[in-house]
Amino acid sequence: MHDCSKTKEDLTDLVFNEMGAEDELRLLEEMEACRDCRAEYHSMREALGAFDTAAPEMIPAGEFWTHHHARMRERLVDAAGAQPRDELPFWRRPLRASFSIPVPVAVAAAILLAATSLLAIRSFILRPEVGREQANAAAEKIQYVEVPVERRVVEERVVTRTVYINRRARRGNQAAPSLQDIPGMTASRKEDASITAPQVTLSGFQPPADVKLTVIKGNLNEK
Amino acid sequence: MVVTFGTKGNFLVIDGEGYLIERAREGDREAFCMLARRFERRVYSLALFYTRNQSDAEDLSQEVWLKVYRHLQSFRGESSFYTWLRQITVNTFLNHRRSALKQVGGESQGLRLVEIESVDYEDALRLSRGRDMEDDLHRKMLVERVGEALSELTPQQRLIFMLKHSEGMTYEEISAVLNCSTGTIKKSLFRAVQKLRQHLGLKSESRSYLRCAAGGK
Repeated sequence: MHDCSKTKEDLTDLVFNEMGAEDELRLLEEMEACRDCRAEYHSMREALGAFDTAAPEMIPAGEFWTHHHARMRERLVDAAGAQPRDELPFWRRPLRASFSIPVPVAVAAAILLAATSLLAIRSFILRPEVGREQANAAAEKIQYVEVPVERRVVEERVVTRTVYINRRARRGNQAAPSLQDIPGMTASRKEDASITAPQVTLSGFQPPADVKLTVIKGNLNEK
Repeated sequence: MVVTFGTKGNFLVIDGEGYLIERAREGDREAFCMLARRFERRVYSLALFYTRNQSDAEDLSQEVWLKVYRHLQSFRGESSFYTWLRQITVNTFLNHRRSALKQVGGESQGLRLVEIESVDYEDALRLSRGRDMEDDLHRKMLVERVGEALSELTPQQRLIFMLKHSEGMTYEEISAVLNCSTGTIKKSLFRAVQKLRQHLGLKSESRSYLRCAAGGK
C-alpha cells in the first residue's frame, strides 16, 4: 500500500541519485499513482535546477581571476622563501629538508624523549645530595672498635732436664717409681724392665716424635 | 613539451595533468600555476558557497593552493589529483571553521552572497544590454533567492549540499570526508532542498520556479 510520507522520505535519495535501480523503479511507479508525491518530486527537481541556474552567476568572472592568480603567485613565492628550493646550494638542502612521520610515532618519540630527559635531570639534581647523605651515613657507621681476638699461640719450649729414676729412692722416704709408670716406655722395654728392675738405666731410651711433655709444677710431698 | 597519453573509450586522450604534477613536484612553479588554473574555479566555488563571503572564499582558496603546493610531494597518484585536492580543500574549510568558531564564537561576519549580488546588480543591468533584460532580471532575483536559501543553512549543510550536488560525491564518500553519519548527510540535503523550495516559492503544485523567484508573477 502506498505511503506518501514514506515515499517523500525516499525522494531525497531519488533526486540525488542515491537509490538502487530496483528501488528507483518502484518509487517511480508509486509516484505515477500518487499525484502529491509526483508533485513533490518535480518540485525538488526544480529547486535543484534553479540552484544550477543561479550558481554560475554567483561566481565572479573576468578580472577577478587575474588578481586571484597574481595573489596565488605571491603567496607561493613567499612560501618558497626568498631563494627557491631548487636553486639552493646542495649543502643547504639538508637544512631545509623535511619529512613526515605518523602522529602515533611522533607522540611516542616525544614521550620517550621527555621521560628520558626527566630522569636524567632528576638524577643530575639528586645525585650530590644523595652522595653527601651516603657519605655522612657511612662516616657515622664506620667506628673503629678494638676487639680482643683470642688466638692460639703455640709455645715451644725446649726443656732440658735430667730425670733420675731413682730420685725418690735417693730421698729415702718414697718408693721408687716403676718403669711402667714412665710414659713413652715401650711394652718390650717394660717387660725387660720388670725382670731386671734393679739395673734400670735410660740408655737406649728413645722418646717418640709426638711426645708431649707435661710439666707439673709443685711439690710431690704436698699430696 | 612532454605529455602523458591515455585511452578513454575509443578516443586517444592527451592529458598534461600528470606532466604538470611531475613538474610541480620538482619545484616548477609555473607548472603548478597551470595546474591550479584547471581547478581554481571549482575550489573557489566550494569556498564561496561554504563561507558565503567573497573575501573569506578568496582567503580560503588561496590557503588551499598553498597547502597543495607544500604537500604536493605526498600526492602518490592513488586517487585522481582532483580527489586529493578536494580532500585538502574540505580539510582546510573544516580547520578554518574551527579556528573561526574559537575566535568569534559563532557565525562568521561579512557580506552575504545576496549583498555581493546587489553590489553587482548595476553592472549586471549594463551587461544585459542587447539581451533579454527581463530574463536577466529574473536570473538576478533567482540568485538572490538562492543566496537567501543557502544563508539559512549551516556551513556544514551547505558543504554537504555542494559536495553531493555539485561534486557528485556519494553519501559514503561525504561521510568519510566529513566524518559524519549518512543520516546527517540525508537530513542536510533534505533541508537544503526544502530551503531552496521555500525561498523560491516552489510549492508542490508549482512548476515555474523562475516566475516564482521573480516575484510570483
